[in-house]
Amino acid sequence: MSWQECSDQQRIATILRQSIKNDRVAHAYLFAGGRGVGKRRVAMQLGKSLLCLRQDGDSCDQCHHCLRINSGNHPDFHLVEPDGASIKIDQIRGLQKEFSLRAVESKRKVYILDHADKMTVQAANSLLKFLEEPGSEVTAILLTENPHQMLPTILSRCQVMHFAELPFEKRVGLLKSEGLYEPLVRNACQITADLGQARELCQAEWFAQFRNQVLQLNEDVLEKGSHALVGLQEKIVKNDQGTQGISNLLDLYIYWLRDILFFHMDRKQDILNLDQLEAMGRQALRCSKTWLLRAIQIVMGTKDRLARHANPQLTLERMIIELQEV
Amino acid sequence: MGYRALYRVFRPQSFHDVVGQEPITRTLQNAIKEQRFSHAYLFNGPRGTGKTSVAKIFAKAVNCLHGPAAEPCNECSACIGITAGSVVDVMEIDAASNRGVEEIRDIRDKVKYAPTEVRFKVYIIDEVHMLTTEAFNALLKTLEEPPEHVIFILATTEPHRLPATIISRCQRFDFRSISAKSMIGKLRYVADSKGIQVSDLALSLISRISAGGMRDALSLFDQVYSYSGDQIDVDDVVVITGVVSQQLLNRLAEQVYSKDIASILELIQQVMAEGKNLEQFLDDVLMFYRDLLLYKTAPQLEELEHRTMGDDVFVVLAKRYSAEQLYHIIEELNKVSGEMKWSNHPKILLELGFIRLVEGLAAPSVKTDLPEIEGLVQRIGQLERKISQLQSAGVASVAMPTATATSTPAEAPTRRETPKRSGMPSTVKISEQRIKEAAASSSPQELQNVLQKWSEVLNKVKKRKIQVHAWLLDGTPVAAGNGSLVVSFKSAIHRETTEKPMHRQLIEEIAADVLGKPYELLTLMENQWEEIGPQSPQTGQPNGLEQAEQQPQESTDLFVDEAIKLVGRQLIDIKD
Repeated sequence: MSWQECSDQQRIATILRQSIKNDRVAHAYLFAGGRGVGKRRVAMQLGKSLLCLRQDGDSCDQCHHCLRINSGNHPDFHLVEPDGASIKIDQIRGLQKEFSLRAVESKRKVYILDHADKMTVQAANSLLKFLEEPGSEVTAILLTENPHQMLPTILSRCQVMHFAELPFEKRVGLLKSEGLYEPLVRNACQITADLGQARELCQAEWFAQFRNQVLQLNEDVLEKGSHALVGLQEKIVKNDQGTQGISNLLDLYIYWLRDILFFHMDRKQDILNLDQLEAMGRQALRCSKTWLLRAIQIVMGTKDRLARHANPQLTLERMIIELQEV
Repeated sequence: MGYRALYRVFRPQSFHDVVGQEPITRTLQNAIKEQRFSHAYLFNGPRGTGKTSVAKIFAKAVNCLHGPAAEPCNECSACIGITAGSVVDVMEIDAASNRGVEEIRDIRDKVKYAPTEVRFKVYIIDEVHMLTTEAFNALLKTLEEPPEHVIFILATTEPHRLPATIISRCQRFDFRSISAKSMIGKLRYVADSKGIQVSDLALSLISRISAGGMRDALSLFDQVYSYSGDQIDVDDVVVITGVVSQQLLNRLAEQVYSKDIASILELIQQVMAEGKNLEQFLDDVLMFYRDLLLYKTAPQLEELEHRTMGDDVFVVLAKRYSAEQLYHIIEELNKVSGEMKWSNHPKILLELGFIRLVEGLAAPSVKTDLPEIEGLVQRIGQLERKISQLQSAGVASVAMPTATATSTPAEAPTRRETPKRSGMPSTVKISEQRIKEAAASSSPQELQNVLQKWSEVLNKVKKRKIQVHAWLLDGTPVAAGNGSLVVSFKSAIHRETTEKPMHRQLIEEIAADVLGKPYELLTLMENQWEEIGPQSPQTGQPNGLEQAEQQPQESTDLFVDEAIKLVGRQLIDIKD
């Protein structure tokens, strides 16, 4: 692998490569970005490029340095991951001890701290001094999905790189070219930024079914009868996918409501469920903008509650009743 | 050693170099000059304000071979040794890694030995807030009365986590966030000594993003320098940090002002596509509105210079918005920003936030909620309604005979579509002329507005009279303009019942109430509308196929019966 393969993070790849070439590699980087944007891949690539025998800012993938990094047993290249739920202070102490020694084979040592936001408070604080003024030539790469949960003192010691997600339209285009059904692809790509995950969703049969159920559910909710509750019980609570399925279904519901909202506002190009315009139009006549805004909030709140392990059936019933009472 | 980060290269080495902390450096310098320095100091303040740097300079100043003097000479062996970290008597301890009582006992044991190389033993305990309670307590006695030759300097970002007993034993110095001005000055100095060309705007942007942390500013500067080389402009900073440019914010603010929600959503879309972080985007927008508000109240504020420097759009915007609007906007956006941190749908929240914002934005006009004015408005509304009713009634009665004549061809399909209900003749005449007029004057915006509020109309009708709601539910507004509202129906009986004067009046009343101006209700059948209407918006999108299917059934309902007999009811789709 070389920098060319990080083409989806062109900007960051250029910056990093440039700084290796100009010998201006910082001693600490923080890679921030959502799941599946390629933080770890770029971090590995940076490590390889630094240690590779070529020393021209790229990696060869053939020298013994690159090969051993690939197989995970290079003595100057360390990867720290959460031990259980968090990165513990002992792991950081171990790291400090390890890095107080000179590099074994080259002049430089590299460590990657995956899920750096999962460091315990103690671990994070004990990293501070080490991060600011490491002994010999050390490059630290911290990876995180939530830069907000990091200590400001850590952030200010690193060069922070924000990893952009692949733009929505591009993801949709990619999956569409694989022959997947566009409305499904659009929904899936909104739900997750990870291409692989989105592909899985599109291929799953239940995902398509859920979309129809959502449509029906909203119809029932708008009817104001008790149909919605019955339907909920029959189809949604007892779905095959368990809690994860409900969460996906609520995502779809949120996007369906958003579609109606956009339909109202005449922003047809942003609508995800392109194949359901007619049903959307019918439902749009019966819901006002204020209702939609409120409804989306309610569904989001429901999703939140489910994530905190509330009883799924009660929470969903509450959602329906709230939706009908607004 | 190869490359070192700028903030390490430019770590201040004398009190003079420290920016933005003049009160502290002066106090310390005077204390050293007069030999009255204390044995324990506590430095606290936000990240990147110079706590550790000042502690090191202090250690040098008291130990300098040419001193103790107000400034370390940085030339003698003691100064050089301390800078390099090779003097064993000046100990920099990382309290976060060595936080146990054991480490503190170790200090306590060694404190009593005299220094070997320099005059004073200086213990710099960094990140002191991470010591355990036991460790703090073990430190107390030593901290209070250390031997003559010992100085403790504690540094931390979180002084509230220290026990009060520790704080009361130290001289405490609060380091302040560094002001934009001194930060820009320092950055300019760094740029000059590195031979970097950098624009003022770029520097002020860097200083704004780093929010008072000098280290943040320098590492950002470093990053931009690596990216763009010797020529740094504001665009480079924008690329590196992912902030939104001033132009974009100006545009957004204009769109919010003109309530152009479509363009706002477009803009959010664009921001997303550029890969910007939405939370940071919202923060930028918030700051922008805050600056607008500040500018409104205090236009000459120095802080706002970077906004007004480029062009005068900002000033124009500040004049346009009213203070109440700005309060409202900032409040709303703040709420969204809080929600966004915890949500996994940040984009939707942002969109909703802006939609709500624009909806709730009151025009900065005269207050219309005075009771007298409201009463007047109502009365005018009533008058207008009456006049238009009179007018339409007059026109309708005059046009009646001709209308029946002209509308016969149009009504033919109606009859065919209601074969089962043919007992009721199609008594309702449509004043085609008026509908045509309405259709011609119908504007998409107005129709859009009506469609958006239609559900509200339905709801209110339902509250007043549930039967009318049931009838009206079948209808779809298809055109609005020139004081008339055209509603098309799928089934004739629904339309006819809606047309009853009593129902009609009720609907018109409510429509006027909800839509904000009086409308005359005109109804017709869907297929009539297709013939009359200029285009078929909304649900009036019957595809050609459907129509073609219906063609042969045109003339009589006998035909339909025949067809049903032939192929069965399931296969025939009669559109009501």
